[in-house]
Amino acid sequence: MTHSDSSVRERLWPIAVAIGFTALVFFPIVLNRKDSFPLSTYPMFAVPRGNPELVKLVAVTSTGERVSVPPHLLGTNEVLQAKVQLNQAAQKGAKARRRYCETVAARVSRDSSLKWQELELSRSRFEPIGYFENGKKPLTVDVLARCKVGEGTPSRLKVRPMIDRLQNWFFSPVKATRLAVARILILGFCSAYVICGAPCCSNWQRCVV
Amino acid sequence: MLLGVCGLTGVCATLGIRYSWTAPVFATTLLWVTSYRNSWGMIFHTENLFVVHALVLACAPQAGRCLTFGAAPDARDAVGSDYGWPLRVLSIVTVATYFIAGIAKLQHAGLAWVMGHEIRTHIAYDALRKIELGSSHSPLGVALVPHEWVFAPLAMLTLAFELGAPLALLGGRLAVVWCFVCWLFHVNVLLLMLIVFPYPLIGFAYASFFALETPWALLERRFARPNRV
Repeated sequence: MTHSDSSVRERLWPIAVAIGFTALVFFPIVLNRKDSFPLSTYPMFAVPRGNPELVKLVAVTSTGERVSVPPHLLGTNEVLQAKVQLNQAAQKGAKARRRYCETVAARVSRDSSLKWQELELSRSRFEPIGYFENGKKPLTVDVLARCKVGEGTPSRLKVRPMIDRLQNWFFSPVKATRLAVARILILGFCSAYVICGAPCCSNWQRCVV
Repeated sequence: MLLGVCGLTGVCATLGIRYSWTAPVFATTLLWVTSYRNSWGMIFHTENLFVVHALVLACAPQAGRCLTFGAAPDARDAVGSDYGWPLRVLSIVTVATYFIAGIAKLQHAGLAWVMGHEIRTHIAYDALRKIELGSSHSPLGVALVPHEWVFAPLAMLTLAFELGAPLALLGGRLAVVWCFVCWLFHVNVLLLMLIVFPYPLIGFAYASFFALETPWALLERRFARPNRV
């Protein structure tokens, strides 16, 4: 084997990898596949946006100011999760939307520092360019649900704290010794039951009869 | 053979020796042995609860991490939810057994069960059967059967403590009171029907409701050798 043969072989693997991965990256666009992971055509900037819709939950303060309700009051710290949550709420029926609004209102009312009076779930349509040219106003606003803050909590809302309390109880930490002593008592009893029961009940059938 | 395996693994699991496999083997063989025993003639309801408890403990290998041979010295001071949930499951299982017993009474006899007729009949029949078969019976049960008025309050209390069993999961005094009432119930069963439920009667069935580390520490202090560091 000459020196040049071995160097070709050494280069073969990197070249194969380069071609292989390049082909893979082109794979979605060649086959006209939808967006996926990890192979993608990255269509997020390619699709025309038009006038996008956005579902929002807005709080009205005592002075009439309108404030966006932050994600943590929707039950998540993730903005995108909050967005999905709001979209899901908006797709539901009027009753469910109202209930969702009241759920958040109950959470808001637990924070005494917030002086919000009303919550409003709405779907707004925006013209992205015009938004910055015309004082950040939406094209249209559809109010999907409204509810007062601190106007009483619907009964279903009590379920969540109950579940939380149940979880806290179930997973509350205890000392390792407590479980170990329970083990000694319970399994000790069971073992004694079997061991002491065995000699006098060598024939289990007869023992029972 | 199986009985031997059951007994041996039971001792090992109790002592925490190779707990992660001795406990499951013990629980399984215990289930087999007791199922076999209960397959001939009648079901011994005295065995149900501890078999389920053993199965629960078999699912919690962390129960063998301390108070065992070769355990790390600081293992007993460990605190975590890991050690808590098996105890909660044990408590839930205990409470559930009594709760469903209450539901079953309502299902079979309806609210009329609280009038005491059913329980009176049961006590009478239990004594009758034992007398006819030449076994020991409860003289107190026999003495009370003619007094109908005794049984309505007994039935009411029984149903109340059985259906109220989930309250014990709230812990604190409620749990202590419920465990005590439960224990009294079994004492009552023993006095009126001469039926021994050993597991609840010695109190081990309610172990999961209590802070067992406190009496254990007291015991250790009491029996600790003076020269022990």
